[in-house]
Amino acid sequence: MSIVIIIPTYNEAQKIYNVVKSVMSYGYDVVVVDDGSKDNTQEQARRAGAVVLRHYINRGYGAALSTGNQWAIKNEYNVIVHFDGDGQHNAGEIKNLVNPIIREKADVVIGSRFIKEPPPNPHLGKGGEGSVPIVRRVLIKLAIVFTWIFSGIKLTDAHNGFRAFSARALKKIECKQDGMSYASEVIDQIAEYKLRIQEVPVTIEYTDYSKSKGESNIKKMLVGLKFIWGKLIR
Amino acid sequence: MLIQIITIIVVLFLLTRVGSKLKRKEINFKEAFFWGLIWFLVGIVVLYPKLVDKLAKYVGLQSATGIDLVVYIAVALAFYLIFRLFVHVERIERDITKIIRHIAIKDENDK
Repeated sequence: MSIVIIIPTYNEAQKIYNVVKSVMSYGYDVVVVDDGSKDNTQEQARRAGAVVLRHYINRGYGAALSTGNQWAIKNEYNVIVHFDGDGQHNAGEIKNLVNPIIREKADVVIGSRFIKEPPPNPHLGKGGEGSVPIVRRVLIKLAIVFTWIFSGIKLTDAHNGFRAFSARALKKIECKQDGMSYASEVIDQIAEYKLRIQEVPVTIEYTDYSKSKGESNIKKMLVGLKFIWGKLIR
Repeated sequence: MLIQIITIIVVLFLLTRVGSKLKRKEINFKEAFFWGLIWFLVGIVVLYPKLVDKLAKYVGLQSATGIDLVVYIAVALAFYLIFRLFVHVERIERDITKIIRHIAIKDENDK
C-alpha cells in the first residue's frame, strides 16, 4: 500500500519545513502543492524533502488539493491523505485515517474534532473540542447542518481539512470549486457516488499562528454561498 | 428636443462600434445582431416615444408612460447580462486553474 500526503500551502514558509519533516518521519511520501506563495515556501518544502508542485498563480485551497490529487492518481498511489500546511494537524494521527481504508472498511475517512462515538483506538482520547474557539464552534455547527441538508450525510464536524481517500474513490470525485468550498463539494460528491465514509477523531491545534493564518469567520460564511453558486452553474 | 438629438448621436456612434467590432471579428455575427438590435430599438424609442406609450398600454401598464416600460426592460436586460458575465468569468477562472494545474504537474514531471 503506497500512501501519499498532500499538503496545500500558501505563504507557509515559517511552518512548512517542520510540517513536512514531521509527516516524513512517519515514513510517508509527501507532496506539497505550493499555491502561488509569495515567500519561499517551495524552497523550504523542497529542503525538507517533499515533492513540490507549484501553482504560478494563487488558485485557492480546492484547486491546490485537486492538483495534488491528480498527481497522486497519476503516480498510482493507493491511499491519498489531505493534511494542512500550517501545523494544525498531528502527523501521528495519519495512521488512524488511513487504517479504515487499508482494511477496506471505508472509501473516505474524515477527521473530526467533535466525534462522540468511542474512538476505534481507546487511548486516543476524544478529539479536541475544548480548544475550539466559541464563535468558530457555532459556525461549524451551522456548517454541519448545511452539509447535511445538501448531501444527506450527517457528520460531526465540517470543513475539517484532514481527510483520507482510497485511490478508487478519489478517481470518481471530481471537484470543480477552487476555494474553501471544496470541503463542502467533496462531501457532496461522496454522497453522490455513495462512497463509504467514516469519521475518526483528530486533534486540531489552534495556535496563534494558525488563527492568524485562518480565514475570518465572515469569510467562512461566504464559503457556503460560494458552494451553492458553484453548484448552480456547474 | 435636445435629448433626442444627443441620444441619436450616441446610438449611431454605438452602432458604428458594433459594426467595426464585427469587421475586426472581435464579436461574432450573433452578438453583433443582438447589440445592433438593442441600439436600433433604443433609437426608435427616442424618435417615436408615443410608440412605447401604446406598447405600455397594450401590455397593461395603465398609469405608466412608455418610458417606464423602457426602464423596466432595461433593468431586466442589465441583470441578465450581469448574470451572463458572472457565469462567463467563472468559466474562465476554472480554465485558468486547469492551465495552472497542467503546468504544475508538467514541471514536476520534466525535472
